[in-house]
Amino acid sequence: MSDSTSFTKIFLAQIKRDLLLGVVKRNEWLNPIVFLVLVQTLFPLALGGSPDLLENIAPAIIWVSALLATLVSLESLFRDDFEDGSMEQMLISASPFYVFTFAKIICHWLLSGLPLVLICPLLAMSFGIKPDVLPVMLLSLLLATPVLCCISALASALTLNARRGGVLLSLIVLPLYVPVLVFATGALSQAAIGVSPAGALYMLAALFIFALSATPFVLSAALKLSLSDA
Amino acid sequence: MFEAIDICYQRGGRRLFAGLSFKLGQGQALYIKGENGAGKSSLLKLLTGVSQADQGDVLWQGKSIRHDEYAFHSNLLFIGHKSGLNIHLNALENLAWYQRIDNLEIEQEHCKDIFKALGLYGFEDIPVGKLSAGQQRRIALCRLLFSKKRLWVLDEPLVSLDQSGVQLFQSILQNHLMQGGMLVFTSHQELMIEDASLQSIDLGDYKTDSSETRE
Amino acid sequence: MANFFQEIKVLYHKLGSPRYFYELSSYWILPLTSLCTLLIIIGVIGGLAVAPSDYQQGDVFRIIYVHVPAAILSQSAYMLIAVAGFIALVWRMKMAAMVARAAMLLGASFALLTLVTGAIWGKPTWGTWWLWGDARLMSSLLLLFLYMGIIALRESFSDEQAGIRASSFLAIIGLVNIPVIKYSVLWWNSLHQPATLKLTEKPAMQMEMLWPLLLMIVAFYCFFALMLILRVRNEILQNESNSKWLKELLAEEGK
Repeated sequence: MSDSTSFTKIFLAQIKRDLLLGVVKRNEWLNPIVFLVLVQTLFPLALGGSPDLLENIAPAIIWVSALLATLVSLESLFRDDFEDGSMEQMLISASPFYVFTFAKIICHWLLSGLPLVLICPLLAMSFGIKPDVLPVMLLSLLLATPVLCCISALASALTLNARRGGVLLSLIVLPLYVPVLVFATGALSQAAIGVSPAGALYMLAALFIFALSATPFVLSAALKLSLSDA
Repeated sequence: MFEAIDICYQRGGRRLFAGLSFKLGQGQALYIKGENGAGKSSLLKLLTGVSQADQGDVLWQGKSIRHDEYAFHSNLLFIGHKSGLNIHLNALENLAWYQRIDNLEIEQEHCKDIFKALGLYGFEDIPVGKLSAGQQRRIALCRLLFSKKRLWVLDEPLVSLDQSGVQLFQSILQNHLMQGGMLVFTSHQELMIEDASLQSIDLGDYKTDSSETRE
Repeated sequence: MANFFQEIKVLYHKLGSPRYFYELSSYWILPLTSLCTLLIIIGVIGGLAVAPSDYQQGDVFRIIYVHVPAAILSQSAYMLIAVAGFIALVWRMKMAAMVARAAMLLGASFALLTLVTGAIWGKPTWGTWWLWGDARLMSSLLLLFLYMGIIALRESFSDEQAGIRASSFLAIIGLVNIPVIKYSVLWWNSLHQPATLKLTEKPAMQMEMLWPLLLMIVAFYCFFALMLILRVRNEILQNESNSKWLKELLAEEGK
């Protein structure tokens, strides 16, 4: 049996490969960011720029636009490897499949989740969110974006064989996103009024741990399903 | 050593084949024949473990391929219709990836020799997407040369190859069989393999009329 | 005791074969239909006429005789889809896939019915058709979305079986998510609606009001089972149209 150090090597090499391939496709990771910035600039314009109102609904705007941004980035996560046959080869290689799926999830987050974590706080400040709320915001983003990425990866894996249709993905993902949305905005709005956001943050952390531990295997199963039905 | 027992498979509501069995030993090749749409590629997916049969089992060294996946996968080389090559990476990078995911040492020099042998010298650092179909096929087939895997499963390996490519490929195959390897393949062209080591299966023989459903 | 389990096992295997299911289920249709009709008649009369008026809500509360069974059924149907889907995925049982498929639209209809009756209940009691703050309404809405996602996913596949498998997988993921959704909505509710409306608590019901409700719940289950069986039989007819046993059976029935 192979030892785990070689799996780690393969894992890291796979991350490097997927990251490089992902960065090359500039549209893929640039689109969500542009979308995010657009939405978060349009809202103040539409609301007439009243600072109190903005500050009140800022958590909602930020989180809904973050959610929508992850939807925009869904398409080619697995599609390229699926269509050129590499994913099949990963499945029948001597390395366990979940090494590859785990690497893909991490790359997905690095390319579509991490930008959100970096940009949202900046945009939030423009909404008048007080600086002492920012740590909570950052923490909630760090915990929630990986969960969102895991969910969107699952949805993407299941729809590999389906006929294309953007609405389908959003419909599948929406109910699964709701708990994350609820806890994330809850944390933010509580912090904004001075109440401790610990409860919400703990729930987000629980979701985070659950998602991270379950997703490589569930995702492997979903991809195997799509590969066998291809 | 590589066996299929009583395989039944249905796809898209159609029963493709039922009761399909074979036994493949060292140095033997299995030629899977059938019309277009008969289910050749589906059968290959069953044999490599990508799909699961409705009934029946596939055995490697006497054990089901699901029970000891590592042992089976370490000995399996599958080249299907799709090239399996990433179009943004070049040939060397693609082959290095294949060696890495199978836990093999990456031998750069050996790769270069292989490229020369296959007439690809000079093309190894161009992104695969920019090469012709025939060249991509040759790169995919490079894997055969540095592979030490015992079972080769090839789906239409001669597609896109020119005359010299076909001859080269035949000699690679002969070598593999002589060294005790096994081969399962589909092809619209005949491959030159000794009759003694060649088995063949025609999927038309296993296609059941649905009225013979057991239930 | 061991004999009993043995028989259950045999029954399970038999039901897994389309032929036996078709033959066995033909015996169940008439009893189920009669039972269902009887229970609905008694339940409706009981709920509308016999049960006393609620001291708070007057006669409006009577919609619970449809609303609550619909809600319960929509959740049970979802569980059935997840379980049957799991069996179809892991053991590749055709019957399980058919059952899962047949239950999807049924469950979605119940979910829709829950929402509509909930809205009808809401108008006189809250003054509005919809209330974003109510935890149960939100959970029901999200359940409906889960159903819509499952059905949409299934329909977007050209290969029918592949579609059923993918949507079963999604159903299982959704199943894990349902408690999370419920809890998160409840938490949100407690955050934003400190004076929770009484609708989210189930008031202790007197027996006079309760018995029609129980009857209606059983009636809805019978209805669901009946519809499920009819739909699965339909699928068997479609999928197995080429098999010998079916041709023989239909020829016999034609005589």
